[in-house]
Amino acid sequence: MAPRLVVLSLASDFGCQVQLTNMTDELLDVLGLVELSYWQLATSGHMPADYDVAIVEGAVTTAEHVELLASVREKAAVVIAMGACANIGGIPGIVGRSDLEGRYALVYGSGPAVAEGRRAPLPIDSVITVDYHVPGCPIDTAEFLRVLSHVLLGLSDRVPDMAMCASCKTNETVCFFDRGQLCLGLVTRAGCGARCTSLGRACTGCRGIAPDANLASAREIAARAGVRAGDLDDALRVYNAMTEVHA
Amino acid sequence: MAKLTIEHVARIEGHGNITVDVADGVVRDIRMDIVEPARFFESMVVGRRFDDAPLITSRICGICSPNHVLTSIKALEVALGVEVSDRTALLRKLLVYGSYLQNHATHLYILRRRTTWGCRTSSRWRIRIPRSSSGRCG
Repeated sequence: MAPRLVVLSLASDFGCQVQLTNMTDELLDVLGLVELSYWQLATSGHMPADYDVAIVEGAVTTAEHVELLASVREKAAVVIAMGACANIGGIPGIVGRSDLEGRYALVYGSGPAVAEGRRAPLPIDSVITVDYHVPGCPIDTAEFLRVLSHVLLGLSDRVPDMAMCASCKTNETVCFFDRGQLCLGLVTRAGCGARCTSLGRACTGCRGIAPDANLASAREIAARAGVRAGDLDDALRVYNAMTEVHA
Repeated sequence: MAKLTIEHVARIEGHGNITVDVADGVVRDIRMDIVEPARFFESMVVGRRFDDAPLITSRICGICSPNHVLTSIKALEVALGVEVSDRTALLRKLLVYGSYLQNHATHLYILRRRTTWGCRTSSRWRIRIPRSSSGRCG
């Protein structure tokens, strides 16, 4: 029997789900290999009682999310974290841990009640064990397909540990620091092929901080290139505000 | 009075519920609740560098992010008194029209395929591509 698959979203912009719909060349092949049991964006039915693989997008920001994830972990043999929000907290993580009520008052005032049980935005592995990771904002569809095929074949998958700079060297991209511009590639996890830098845009760190990243050295390199002190850490707080290593 | 509740309306971006109150066969009230988890975007950009705003606010919506990028850039331009060239304005229009085209194609061919084409789908989710000129499902 084909594995039953569900796609779920927590606090996110649905961008990674849209990336799934963008897999125009491969979508039909993928759908022939799984039974898509639930995907709110693209199917009409309700969440089924049982399923095998859960793809989760978005950061955990409410008590309801925590309950949902506990139920997902109980049912699904495999949980895949999809995108920056689910893997590292991402953009929702910018709000951080403090003064959520102050932010609520600033944005909504005495307006409509939004989701109760607010929590600091965290990646889903802060709540449950995650089996596979597809990082990025949004995800790279080729990487998603690799991970999904590994899931279906019962193979393990490992997101690269090295920093993005290694990919830039392979691509022969001129370093942004040589032009006095800040780039987060030197501390960001590789694996996307350094797509942004190849297109002339500095790395924004959406794949998360590499495990062996040397932040102190990165700050020195930034300073030597004439980048204002503090800018590197400020830039890291766009996607990686909930990752403690730089704090 | 009967109450119809649709929790998490499907095939749209975001999370919304619809509640319909019906009495004696007449609809008395319809309510749409947005149950989207709050992300507090307005507060995220406060105190940050101005050029972080377009990247951050583009993630309000992953479907129409080009519009959020441009809105944010235009707000910055108003604040800083910047006027762009005709070429830049035209390129921006191209970006927005491109996103319209992509969104409508996604909606038509992926999200609404069944209702649009009247195709029957099994529990296994499938796209049926029309093979004949009559547009019937292949």
